[in-house]
Amino acid sequence: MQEKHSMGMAAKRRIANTFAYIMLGIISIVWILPFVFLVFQSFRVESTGVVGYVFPHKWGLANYVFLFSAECNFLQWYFNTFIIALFVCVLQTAMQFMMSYTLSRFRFKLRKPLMNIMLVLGMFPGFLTMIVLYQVLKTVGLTGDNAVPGLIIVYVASSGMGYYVSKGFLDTLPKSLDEAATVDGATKLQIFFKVILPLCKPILIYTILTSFMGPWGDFIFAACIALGSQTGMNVAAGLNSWLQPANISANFTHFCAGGVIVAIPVMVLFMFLQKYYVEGVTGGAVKG
Amino acid sequence: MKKIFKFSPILAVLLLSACNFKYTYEIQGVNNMRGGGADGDLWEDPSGIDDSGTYDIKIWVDEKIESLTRSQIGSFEMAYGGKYTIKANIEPMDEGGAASSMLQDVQSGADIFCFAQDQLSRLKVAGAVSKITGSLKTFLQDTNSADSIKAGSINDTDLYALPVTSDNGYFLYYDKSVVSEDAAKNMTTLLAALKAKNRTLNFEGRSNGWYAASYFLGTGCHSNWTIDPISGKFTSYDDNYDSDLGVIAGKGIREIADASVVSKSATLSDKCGAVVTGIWEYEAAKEQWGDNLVCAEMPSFTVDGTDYHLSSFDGYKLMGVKPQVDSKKASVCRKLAQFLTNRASQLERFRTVSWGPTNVAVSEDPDVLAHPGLTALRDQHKYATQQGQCPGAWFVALQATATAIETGTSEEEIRNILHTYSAGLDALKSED
Amino acid sequence: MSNKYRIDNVAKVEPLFNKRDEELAALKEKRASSSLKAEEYVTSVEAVKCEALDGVIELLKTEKHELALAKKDLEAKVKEIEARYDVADKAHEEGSMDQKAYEAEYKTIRNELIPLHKELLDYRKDLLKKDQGIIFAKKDKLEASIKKIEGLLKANKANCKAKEIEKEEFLARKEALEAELKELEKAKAEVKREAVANEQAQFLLMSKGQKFGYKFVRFFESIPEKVGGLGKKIAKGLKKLVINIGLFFKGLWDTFIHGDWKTKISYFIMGFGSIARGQWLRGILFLLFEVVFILYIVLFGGHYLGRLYILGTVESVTGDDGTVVYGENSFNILLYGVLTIFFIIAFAYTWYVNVKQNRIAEQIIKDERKLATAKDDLRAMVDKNFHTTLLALPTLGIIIFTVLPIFFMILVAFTTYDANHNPPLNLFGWAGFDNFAQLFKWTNSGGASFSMTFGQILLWTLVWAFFATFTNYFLGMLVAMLINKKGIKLKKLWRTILVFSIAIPQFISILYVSKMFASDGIINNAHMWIQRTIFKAADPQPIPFWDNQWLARITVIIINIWIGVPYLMLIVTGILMNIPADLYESANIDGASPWQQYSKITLPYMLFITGPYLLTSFTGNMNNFNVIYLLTGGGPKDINMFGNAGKTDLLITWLFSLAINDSNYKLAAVIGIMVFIVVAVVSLVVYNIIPSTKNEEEFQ
Repeated sequence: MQEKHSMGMAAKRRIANTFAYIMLGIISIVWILPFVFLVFQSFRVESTGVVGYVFPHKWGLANYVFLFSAECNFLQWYFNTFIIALFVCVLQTAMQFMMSYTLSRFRFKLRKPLMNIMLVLGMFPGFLTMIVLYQVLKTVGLTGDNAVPGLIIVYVASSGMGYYVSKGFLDTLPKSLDEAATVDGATKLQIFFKVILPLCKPILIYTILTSFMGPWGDFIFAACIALGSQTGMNVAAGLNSWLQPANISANFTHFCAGGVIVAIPVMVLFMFLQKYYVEGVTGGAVKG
Repeated sequence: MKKIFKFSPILAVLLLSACNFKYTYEIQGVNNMRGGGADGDLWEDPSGIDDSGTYDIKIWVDEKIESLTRSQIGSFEMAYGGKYTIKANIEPMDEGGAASSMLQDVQSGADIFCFAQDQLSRLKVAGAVSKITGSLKTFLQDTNSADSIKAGSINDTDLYALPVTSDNGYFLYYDKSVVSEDAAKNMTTLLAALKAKNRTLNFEGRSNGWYAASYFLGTGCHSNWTIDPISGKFTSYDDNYDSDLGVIAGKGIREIADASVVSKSATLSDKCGAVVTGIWEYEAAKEQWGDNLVCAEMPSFTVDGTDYHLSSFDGYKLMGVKPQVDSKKASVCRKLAQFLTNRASQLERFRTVSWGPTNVAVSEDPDVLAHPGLTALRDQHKYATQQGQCPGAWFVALQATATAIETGTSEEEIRNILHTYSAGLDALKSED
Repeated sequence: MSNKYRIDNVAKVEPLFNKRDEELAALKEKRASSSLKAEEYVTSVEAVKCEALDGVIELLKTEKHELALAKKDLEAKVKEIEARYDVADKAHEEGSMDQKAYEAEYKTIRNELIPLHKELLDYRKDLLKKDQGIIFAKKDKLEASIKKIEGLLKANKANCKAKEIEKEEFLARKEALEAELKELEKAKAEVKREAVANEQAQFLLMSKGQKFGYKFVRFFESIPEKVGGLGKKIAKGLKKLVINIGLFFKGLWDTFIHGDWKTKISYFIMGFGSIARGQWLRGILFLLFEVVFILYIVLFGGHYLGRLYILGTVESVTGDDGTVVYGENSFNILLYGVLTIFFIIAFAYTWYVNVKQNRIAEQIIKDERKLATAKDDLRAMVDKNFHTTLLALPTLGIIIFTVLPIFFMILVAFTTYDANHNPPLNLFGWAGFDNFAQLFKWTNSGGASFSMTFGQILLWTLVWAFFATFTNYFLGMLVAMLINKKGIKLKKLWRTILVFSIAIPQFISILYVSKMFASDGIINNAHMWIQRTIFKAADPQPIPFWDNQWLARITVIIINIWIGVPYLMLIVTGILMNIPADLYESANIDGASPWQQYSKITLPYMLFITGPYLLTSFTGNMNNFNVIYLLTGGGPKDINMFGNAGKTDLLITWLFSLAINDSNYKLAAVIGIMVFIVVAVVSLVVYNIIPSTKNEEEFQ
């Protein structure tokens, strides 16, 4: 006790900060190591199965070469997923925005019931309906080889239900903006495009980013809708099939390499758009 | 936003190359055609149905034989002298997952598909496999081993699938620089040898019912399930795992509960000196251990001074033909499936991917006889049990039973675990 | 009747109303025997009403007075108690009371005051109620007086002028009363707010345990009230519904009877009236919809709808030549049957709109106003009805891809749809409540029962959700505070490192991590190496992360921290920046330790703001499929559990394996419904406990 009292504020702070730096260092290592390991594994060429060590005995690009070779469907999966992600990020953002804008800016009779119904619907586990969605899509011929448009529809159709975050943002925009525009004689459509939309850049980018990311990680729904078709398979379902007991010995390092390539576009996007993502996550949770 | 678009040229190139690969791939497939089947390989359809024409046929096979199957279909077309044009849509599908996918949607599923034999009854119930009768059945019986025909049959009588491989069983691989030939004959000595060198035995004896059964079958337990021939549902069972024999097996399992030397895995790993798995790991094992690789029958285990040889399942991979609405297509699918499982095709598959044949003639091929993995399977055969048909959940029940047994589990506790197992069997029967 | 005027003393008011009713009945009789003129009748009736209302007002005033007196007493009492504060202060200053006793005294006083304050508020509330009652009564009396005057005016025109003025005056007074009423509403809201504040103040004074207990008790206390309220609401709603349905059909009938021929034809040919009146755009759309609907029902939907009651009887036939003739497909019957029902509802609504359009159009023509043209309709779509336009597509998507499938799966829970009744080869049928009965069947024929397994998995699901939510929450907060600590450099770098783990698809990172924890994975290899080389252990054992049920459960929670903390870190960072800095400054001046600052400022603020987030995150974790499925696949499997369930299975992963691996859709559907119920109950309970139930208008 005596010692502590004799220390100055600055010294105290220095110790606290050193401690904080050590903690942060450890945290960073814990969080980043698995990815580093994953990258290392993707360069392992001496064997293709699961191993218990980190550093490959022999380094090489064989796994990446395999992914891009003719005997592997990886590029097809990757292309499919990219197309899906592209469409989904545009359409889903549009759908979510239509929903959240309406619920935030308009007051109409069915508004509250609509919000409550969506809340209740959200409480049902989504997997339950997978088999039904499959059959619905099958009726219109969008399963199997045509799974890509089918998946886009499934991802986009119900996306209105995820309106919370953007509604939270829109609620913070003052209503006087709309009123002023109305006085000037603008229609509601014009208000939407000319007044509101330009102010929504952060939340728009957040929505685009999250909806772009979604399809890359879906290995359940995508596999169900594609029903074994390589032409309709997405990258997550494809990579997941490599980890089945019968395939894992021959494909684990391929999986790692595939994982790295899948992570790249999303990480690059994140690098540039991190600011908006942070704004969206914070905004959504606090205001939503 | 602008930055995203900077990447678009790269992506465009990627996309283009993706299309390109797919394209060249198909050309290669066509050029790969080999000669047609030899005489006696083709089943002659006595019905005389005029089924010539062009057919879209969807086929699910393991990814290892995807391109081989493509060329075999070319051979099929040639063997029938251009009578059929098959527009095959071949998709890679692992044999374990084929049944689940077929069950999800029989109508959009494959017309011809490979699967592991334990899925047969499920597929039969869902109407995903058609019954094989008459001269085709006789033909298959004549050319394939009796056990493989049994594997494709329900209650040993009604044939529902064509045998593809005989190698869906397991045996022991080991590294002879770690384990001596003598040590590999008994589980206790095997584990001791591995432990001495700080290596592991990769064996799912406690974490997978299919492997765990080796202990019970080894002491002489049995679990036979009867299937209703019409509906394909499991109606009754004859099971004596909950017995003194079962307790002996349980005591044997305690030995492999030592996690420091037994790794719950059916694949190779860098640390393992021995692995119990099937022929599909042969190439990987060969690569890892080179000349030190030995394939052998399963070891024995010792309980209270008595040796029991570990059993295994004699398992088969089968090819199913989906019932068709169009009788012409049904006929062609059968012919194609017959062709894909005949002597020439099985031999070709053995040569390319080392799959063990069910065809009697191919089994006697000198190369097949010389293959170490298949030899080990043949050696193990005398201890092995026909897998037959049982509910999928039975394997899980057995897994849970084996998992419950730990190193220190007493005989009393083993008995209780087996009681629980036995009590749960009724629930595995089909409800109605 | 008495309730409208907020009268407590029902006994006293009964005779008043009885007397009034008697007099009214007498008047009615007189009127019936035509001994009374219409005008005179009205005047007398209103006079009787006025008289009764005078009585009511008198009563109310008395009651109000009594209340005011009681309130005064109470106020005096409160003052008396509050005076003890000063006494204590004085004693403390003088030193005759030590710190501990002083604080204790303060606490007792506070505790005594709390219920009194509450009571006081109740009085204020009641007083306001009385005021409201008085206003209502006065208003009704005025209305009666106005009617009386009108009657008089009609009967006796001589007195015209004066009465006219009187009426004007009454009307003005009525308006004033209405304004007063509005003021009253505001005052009421004020009291309500104060009550809430009071409760909050009371709440803040409690210790943590007390707080939780208080909320818990409050919630269950409020259940009867809520249930009662709900019952009343339902009864009211039902009554309203019945009346509305009656009115609805009456309206339809009236429109048909009184409508012109165009309207009449529109009852059968939708859109006819609109086209005939020149509103061709709407008309054609209506007509098109009708044509599509009829074609759909005739060609497709009608058949399925007709088979819905039995779900098919025609079995499939397989031939020995490898052929099959498919019979009826129960799945399709159920699916398209449900779809058809949805379509019929949509059609009925459109038909009603079509009829209503005719009625409106007729009215407009009668009023000699202009009908909306196609151009007007289009303009309204982007202006007046812009919200409908915007909602059309998202709502349609939700109906087809969420509502329809959920409705379907709920129905599946009442069928025999499983592996043995799997279309297209096999039929399934209705099973009533058989599947739900399994939930309550405590014994199976030995072995594992569905109900026991369900109970176990539900318990673990809740435990998991609790730990997954709160470990993430507090550790995320810790990390965020570390990063945002004053004097820490490279803030952006630290944040970016964590955020990157969000960017990598979960299935890749989680699958890889699950391999790391395997018995021959990286973690165990390191562990064995350390054991062997550092601790010189002769026979090191790997840690059975995925094989021991407790270890597996702990491990999934720990790995979930790794997955979830980056999100929390981001959220918390945003909120931390919003905490007013002066709070900390004053705390610093007071010499509060960092821990005190955290527990007294940061944590309460955070909890208040993130209450709703915690709730969604809790329910989200209950359905956290990816983490469990990819890490353990539900394992380790347990022989005592039904349907291949394992010790780390959540309801959602169990549901998935039942549906996909066993094709046991009926039980999966039952579990799905139970998941819904559990989530709904948890949400309801938590929503009532958390303090920040936010008002969405607050931010605009």
